[in-house]
Amino acid sequence: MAISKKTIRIFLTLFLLCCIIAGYGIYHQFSKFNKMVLERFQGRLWELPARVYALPLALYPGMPLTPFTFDKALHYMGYQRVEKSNDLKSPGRYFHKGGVFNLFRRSFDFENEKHPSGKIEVRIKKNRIAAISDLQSDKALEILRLSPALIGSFYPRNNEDRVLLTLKKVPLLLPKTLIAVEDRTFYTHHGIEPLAILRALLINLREGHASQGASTISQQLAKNFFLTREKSIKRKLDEMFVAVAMEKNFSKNEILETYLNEVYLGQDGNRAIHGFGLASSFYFGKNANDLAPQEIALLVGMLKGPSHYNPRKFPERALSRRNTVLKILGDQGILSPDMVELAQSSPLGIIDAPLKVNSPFPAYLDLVKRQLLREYRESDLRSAGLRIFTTLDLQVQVAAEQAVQSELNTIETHHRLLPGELEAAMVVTATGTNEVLAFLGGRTAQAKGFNRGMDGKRAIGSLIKPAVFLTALNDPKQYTLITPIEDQPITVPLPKGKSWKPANYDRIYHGTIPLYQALVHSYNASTVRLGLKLGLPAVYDTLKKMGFQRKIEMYPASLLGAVEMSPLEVAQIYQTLASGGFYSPIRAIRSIHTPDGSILQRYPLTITQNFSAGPGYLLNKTLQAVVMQGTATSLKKMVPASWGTAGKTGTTNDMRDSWFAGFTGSQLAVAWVGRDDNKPCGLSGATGAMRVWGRLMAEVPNAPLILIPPEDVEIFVVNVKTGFRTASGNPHAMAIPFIKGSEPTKNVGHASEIAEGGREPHQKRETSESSFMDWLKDLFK
Amino acid sequence: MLFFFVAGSLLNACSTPQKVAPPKPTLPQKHAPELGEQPLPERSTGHSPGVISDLKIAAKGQMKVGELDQAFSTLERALRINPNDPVIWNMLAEIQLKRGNVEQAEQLARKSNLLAGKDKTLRRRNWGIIAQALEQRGLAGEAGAAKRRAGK
Repeated sequence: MAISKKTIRIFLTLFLLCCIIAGYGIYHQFSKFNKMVLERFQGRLWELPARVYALPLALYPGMPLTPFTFDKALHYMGYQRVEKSNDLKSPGRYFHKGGVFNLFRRSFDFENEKHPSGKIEVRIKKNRIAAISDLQSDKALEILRLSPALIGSFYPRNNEDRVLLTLKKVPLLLPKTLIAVEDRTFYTHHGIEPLAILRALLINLREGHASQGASTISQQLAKNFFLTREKSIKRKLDEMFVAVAMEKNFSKNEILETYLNEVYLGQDGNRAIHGFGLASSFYFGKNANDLAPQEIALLVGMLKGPSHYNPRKFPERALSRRNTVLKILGDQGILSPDMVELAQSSPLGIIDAPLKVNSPFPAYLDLVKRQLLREYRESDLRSAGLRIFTTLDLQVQVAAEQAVQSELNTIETHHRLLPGELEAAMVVTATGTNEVLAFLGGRTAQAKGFNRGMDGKRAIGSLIKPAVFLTALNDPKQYTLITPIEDQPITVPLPKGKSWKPANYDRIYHGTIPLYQALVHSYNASTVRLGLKLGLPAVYDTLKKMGFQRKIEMYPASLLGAVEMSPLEVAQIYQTLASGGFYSPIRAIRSIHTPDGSILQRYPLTITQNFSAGPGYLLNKTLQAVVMQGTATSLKKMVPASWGTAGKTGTTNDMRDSWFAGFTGSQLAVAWVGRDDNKPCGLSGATGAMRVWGRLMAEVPNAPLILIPPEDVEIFVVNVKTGFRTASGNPHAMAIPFIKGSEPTKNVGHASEIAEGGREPHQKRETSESSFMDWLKDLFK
Repeated sequence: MLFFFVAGSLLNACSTPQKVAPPKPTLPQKHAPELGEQPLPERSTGHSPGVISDLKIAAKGQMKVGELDQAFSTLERALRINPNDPVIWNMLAEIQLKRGNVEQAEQLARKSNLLAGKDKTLRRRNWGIIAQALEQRGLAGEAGAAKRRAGK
């Protein structure tokens, strides 16, 4: 039967119509996906976590550093220790024996500073760096900087984590391997490969369900980016549309780069590991540009099924998959047969799974976060991929943790306290820049929770006394260091007919004494008398100029430290003393960078002179005497006296809080020890917090505090009992600094001093006896 | 027994190799103790001066080519190791003056002076910075006084 022309015409028309409808449909679908692709790529491609870094650890010969601390610091920097020096084959590993560290340092590319990776030897002798040398060139190094440790991240809500890579910065072998394994014709196709699809379609039809994929790299990216994971014909079609749309709008390299950053490569708890950048550090502890061929092969091989080929769970499966990939590379001539053989015989080289904590230093991270939240929205913190460079010094942080742990154990044993009864907090800053080098919110650094360094506000006791004496010294017409003050019992009338009778620590009173002695020995009665004379508002004003920012009511008892502060607040006010009267806001963040490395914000050092140089010098001299002759003398057993440490002990009523705040020429630290329930713990400032302070400082580099008299200060030899100038030979002679014009004018030879002095001192004990008593007091405190 | 033996041999070990130092001349007058006086350090205090001078040289180079931000952070690195070097503070002051941040320039120069001790040249340079800073703030009188101290 012949088909009539009419029928043919009808069929043709219908066919044409179908084509037009299909064409329109395809066009419609395509524009829909095209728009979607453009929109997606226009905005930020990913929510990127913010990353928080420590200071790069800088090592130089002569620097004090214990092997223990260095070992820990390397661990925090993600370096893996190897057992044999022969195993030191790739960056991010180190070998340690005795005081000799051989490390294969990672490449360094931070803040305009670049170093390649390479082998370095660091020799530590007697807890100091004896030498640093480059093992390749055998050259001695003056300074070695190691790439900064990651100390925490703020993850996006979806818990996706990635480290962005650019195609330029990855080893060439990575994209080559990817293309060889996943999509050989990547550079020539237009997003899809019709032949491969047809083949897959046939197989799928024969088997009756969609199981066979023939995805190009573009299609895989399309699937990850826009579509669900379901396997159906419709999704497959959509995927093709998206792939073609992507190819139309973007270059091959752009697609490849996006793919490298997008792909899912494993799971760490609830954190999803995305992209080759993060996978490199997650599995191998190194940067992507340091990856070896077998490592690239493993990561690319894992794309087929990241959990199925998880090298930590299924090392054999992973190894065989890796070697299959290496064989492909050999077959395609990408790697030479020798290289394939070498790579295939290498072990997997997977590092131990990283600790499942967000940060090894939660208190410090908390400090950083609170500073950030004053200026950034939380959603930006969690998604904009900011790189935050902090001032955390790994060496100091590690030493501080160690000092708190070991000293608290010792103290608990010596004072017959229950193990774990004491808590502690500590802040360490650099005196020049007022940057927080270490911060502990509790006894165990890793324990999250209550941050005593910031939120633990406790009475500061005698730590407040320098504010009282600085107020006095600021008025050189009225007060010098030897102005006689009364150390006699005092009754302070309070409202409602009540009264307050502050007592000295040991209930011994010393009569008329030169001003400086009241601070050196931390006498309460004379301090209260002086403070009341100066007036509470004047002392509060000094506190504010020292950097105390909260508004508080001042009472007579405030003069003895009935003022609650956090260790961080104490560090801020002592910093002003340490820097000679210049106030600097305390900082934990140096700078913030965008993901592409450009700088977003800097937090540079700023200073404001709040006290003139003279009074600051006089006060600091006295704070040095606190350690040399006063309440903190036992500190000399822990740190060299030549450091000239200036400091102050603090003990509160019934020994509830033990404080020590002090500084050397380069570092300031505030330590608090006490109980969370605020019950007495039986520790004075010197027997508790000061021990922690000394233990820490003894282990970290410190410059001595050498105070240089300012222009308006002159030193005179005076008889501290009479207040007159005298000859050096007098037993009560002491060289005392004065602000010019405030020095005693009368010059008396020592024979006639007592008679002419008129002011017969009322001290109950002789000097020699008193220092013996002090020694005894220290012993039994 | 053993203790005495060991102690004795230690004493011997200490005394034999060294020549006996001549007794120090007695001072005409006993030195008066100084408030808060610290003994001299027995050994160098750690940081090699090379590190600081390298950083200062690097910062100078960055200042020359106008990389003021980088120079400032380089000097902050130096301060972390030794905050008592008045030259570092002087350079920081200079950077702030170049940036036109005159208030900080003045403060930093004053801090440098605090540490400058007897270094008159450095003091004069700092007073020069302070004078310029005050001048730019329109404080002609104070600037004049600072200028005189700068020896200009």
